[in-house]
Amino acid sequence: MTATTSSKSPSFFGKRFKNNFRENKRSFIVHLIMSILGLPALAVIAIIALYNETQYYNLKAISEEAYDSISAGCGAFAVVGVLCFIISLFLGMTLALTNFKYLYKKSITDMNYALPLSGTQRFFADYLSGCIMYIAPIFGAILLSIAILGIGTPIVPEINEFWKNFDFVLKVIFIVLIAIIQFYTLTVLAIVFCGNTFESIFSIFAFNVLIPASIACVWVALCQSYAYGIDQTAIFYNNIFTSTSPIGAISFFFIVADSIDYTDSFNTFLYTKWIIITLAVTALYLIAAYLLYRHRKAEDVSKPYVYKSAFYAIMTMGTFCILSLFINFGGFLAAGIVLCGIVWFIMEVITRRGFKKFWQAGLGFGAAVISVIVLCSLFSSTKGFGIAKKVPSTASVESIAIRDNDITDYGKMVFRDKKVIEEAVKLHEELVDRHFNQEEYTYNTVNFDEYYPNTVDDSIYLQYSTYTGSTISREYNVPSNMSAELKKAILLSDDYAEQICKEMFRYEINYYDEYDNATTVEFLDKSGDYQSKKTDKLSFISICDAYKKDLMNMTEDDLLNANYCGKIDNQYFVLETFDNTISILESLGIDCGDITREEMPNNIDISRSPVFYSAAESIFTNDYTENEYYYYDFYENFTVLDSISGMDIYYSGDTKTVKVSYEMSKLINKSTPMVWGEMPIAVFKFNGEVLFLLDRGDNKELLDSLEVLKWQVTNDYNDYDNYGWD
Amino acid sequence: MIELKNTLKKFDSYTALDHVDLKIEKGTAFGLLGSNGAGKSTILRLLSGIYKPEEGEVLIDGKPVYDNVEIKEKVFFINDETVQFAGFTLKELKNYYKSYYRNFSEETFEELRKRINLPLNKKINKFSKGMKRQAIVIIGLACKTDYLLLDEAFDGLDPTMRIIVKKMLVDAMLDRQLTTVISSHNLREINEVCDTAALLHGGKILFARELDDVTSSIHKIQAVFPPDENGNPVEYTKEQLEESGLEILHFERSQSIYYIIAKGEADVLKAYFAPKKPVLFEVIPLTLEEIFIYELEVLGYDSNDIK
Repeated sequence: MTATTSSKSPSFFGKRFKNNFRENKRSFIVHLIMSILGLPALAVIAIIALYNETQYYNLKAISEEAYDSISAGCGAFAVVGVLCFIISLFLGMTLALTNFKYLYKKSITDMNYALPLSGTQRFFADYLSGCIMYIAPIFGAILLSIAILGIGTPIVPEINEFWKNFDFVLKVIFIVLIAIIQFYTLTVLAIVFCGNTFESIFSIFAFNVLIPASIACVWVALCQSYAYGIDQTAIFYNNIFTSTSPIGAISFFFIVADSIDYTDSFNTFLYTKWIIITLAVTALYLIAAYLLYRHRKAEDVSKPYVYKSAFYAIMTMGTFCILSLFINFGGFLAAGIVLCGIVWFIMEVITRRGFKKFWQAGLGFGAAVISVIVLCSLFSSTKGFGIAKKVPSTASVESIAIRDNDITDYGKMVFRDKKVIEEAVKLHEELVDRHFNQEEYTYNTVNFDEYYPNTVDDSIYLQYSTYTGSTISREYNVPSNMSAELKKAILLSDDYAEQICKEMFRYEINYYDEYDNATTVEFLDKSGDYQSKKTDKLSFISICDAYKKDLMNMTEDDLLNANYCGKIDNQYFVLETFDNTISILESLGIDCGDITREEMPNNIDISRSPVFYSAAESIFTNDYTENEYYYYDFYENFTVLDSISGMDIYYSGDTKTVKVSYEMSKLINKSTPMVWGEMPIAVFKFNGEVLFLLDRGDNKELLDSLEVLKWQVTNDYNDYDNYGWD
Repeated sequence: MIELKNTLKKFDSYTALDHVDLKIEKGTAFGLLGSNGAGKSTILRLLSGIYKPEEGEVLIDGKPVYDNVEIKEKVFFINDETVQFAGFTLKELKNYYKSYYRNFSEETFEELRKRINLPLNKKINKFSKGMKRQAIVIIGLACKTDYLLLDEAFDGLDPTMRIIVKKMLVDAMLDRQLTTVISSHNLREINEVCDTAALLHGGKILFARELDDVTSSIHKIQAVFPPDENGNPVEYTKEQLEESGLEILHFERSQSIYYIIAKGEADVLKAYFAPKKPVLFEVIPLTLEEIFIYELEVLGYDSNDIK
């Protein structure tokens, strides 16, 4: 045998990595198997499922039994695949725990600390080797899944959708990779704080859960402190939440996933900012872990917490979460304190391994409780530090997501149109001003003995995305006339046309009949009658394209003055100026023209000049949060706020029934469900439709000439004797 | 050379080493003796760079050990546990250390392994306690470091193996000037292997000397003195003897016979007692164990007091 004394000096990382890999071999193999059984298996299942669909629905090549059986199999394996993927994500914790086990296992501390490595070399070699062992299988699984989908594309053409959205897929991959790096780093940080197995595992879970939970609780406490317009869900868009923990990253993943419908308009700044901030926060966790690692001593192993501050931070976060929920949601505070006290007591007994210096535990608990109460009181007394006053400047806004009941149909739409942004900021500024400078505004009081109140408040959600990557979210109740200019700007924007047409297409596709290869287009005309026609996919796409074109060509004058024809699918309004849409609809046999006398019922209910009100005090003071019965119990507080406008205003009030004459049919054809900044002179109600008659031309004269058949009183507050039209 | 200069090591409020000074020359076989909690293992962990001193310096070849890769590569530390190797086979453990110690000699490893006949591919947790210690000792020797630190090195070894391991250590010391620092409760072993030793108690070093000096500097005296002119027996107290410069560790009188443990060379002690013209006078060298017991007795660590 020859002497094999080594002469070269391998890098510290190489040798440590090799040894760590050898020690972690079993965990790594489990991780590898789970990763392969996760995403790549899901990719295979997706191909099989799509192929199965094609074989059954399009080609009719397999029986229903075979289709059902394959579908059920795919479903079951998909569950297994998802579980394996989740397990592989959690194995990062095991790898970190194994790589740094000498920090909490006394028997191996000497063996590791005595090796010819500096603390810095040892830390980074252990951190990086674990990180690589954690990420490599997941990254490999992602690449493998993409390759599988690539192979499957010629067999199942539906996969082309995946490649069309590949930029979105790449974004998601980066989010996943950054999130798992952060999870691993946070796990290492938690381990460095501890000197014992139980505390290490407890701290890993506590750090990962309590950091996002306490941030969310602070935000809820802020929102609950009457911060006007602040949206409680806005925290899920804020980097403080999304960038500081893996759970936050999951929340950001859902924000991105939610944007898949409008990928092209997804805010790149928001994404870039998230990447930068999350990486920076992860780097901070790493630096903190490194500094604490360097500072801790070998002899600290077997102490429950090497840095007791970590334990108190965890317990204070937990106490904050529990108590703030009790405080903010009207729970019995004493019960919350008792609950926290019990948890605190148990944890202190465990970490102290008995009752040594137990008075310190009482002090810690007292300090935590007091700090939570003080913080919540501070939020309350400062009204959330005045964050509700913040309105971004128009120039700083890159895009705005708006959700409005009238226009966006309860879903969000994203706008980059400068006019929309400008109007949104203007509306926001006015709302804030009316809230914070209430003494500068006066409102006329309504006499409810004379008028029936028709409230026209509208809930509007504004979510600004700025050029700096920030997200500012607000939700307000708005009197409809205040938001009229914004709504006009929205309807006149190309962004609206683009998105509403996509929405229109998606809506119709939901009702697409695979057997007949057809869908049904419905048109609701002014008389409340539906006309429906079957059409194929291509014809429907041409309707969408025509509608988009017409919306883009629509001028403000068209919007305010063009005659209203009806709605496609009871959602998408059609004006007489929408030539392209009307032409296609008519080619399908749908009549979009004026309704004739014959198409109308014999009698129609008409309400006289309506009066709309907004409960200004409740809207601008946000007081409704204190009394949910406000609207019903305090009529005297209703005030008139300027004139009324809006879209699709619902109206209920006293009516008179008139016989439908030639004049009446003329008036009906002139009426519209859309009102912009002017007072209607009458409301027509028939077939469940509500149409408004505006004070234009000879409308008033025609209205006065109508023959009244009977009165119908629906307002209990009005005196019948005083009721009537002149 | 190993140097501890005014080294203080504390574990929270407990002082494990209290401003200790110690020098160990290169090529020495140095024994660390002391009661439980005296600070022996702490010194070894300081020397291997596991612990960082709170005050003072711990130097090897003139350079601080803590966090110093260059120095740590010259040191191999074998602690008093073997549980940490449980997951390895001997081959894996050898490869583990081989990757960190550049001077690792496969030849030495194989030679030593064959000498004690250890299986290469068997999990170490299947080894007996003695085999585990043999395994780590041969790996430590094969790492060819300049310094080998052993904490309770011979714990668990049977007498035959003890001799073999001792021989391995002695051979390495002779072959390549290996400096060995051994802590042990077994004074006989220290006596057999080490040429120099330090006695620690309560985090302090009581003495650090060559063992020959130690054994020759403390003696047991048995003496009987003649009566005075009136025929009465002469009585000496411990204080009387100490007043005249004798350093006594133990003093006992049984009728006319005095049993005294005193520090000093045999010749010096003989010269001291000569004027007292003892009827019977005998100077007996002490074993290291006896010295250990008597030194600690002076400091109040008396086995007779432990009930």
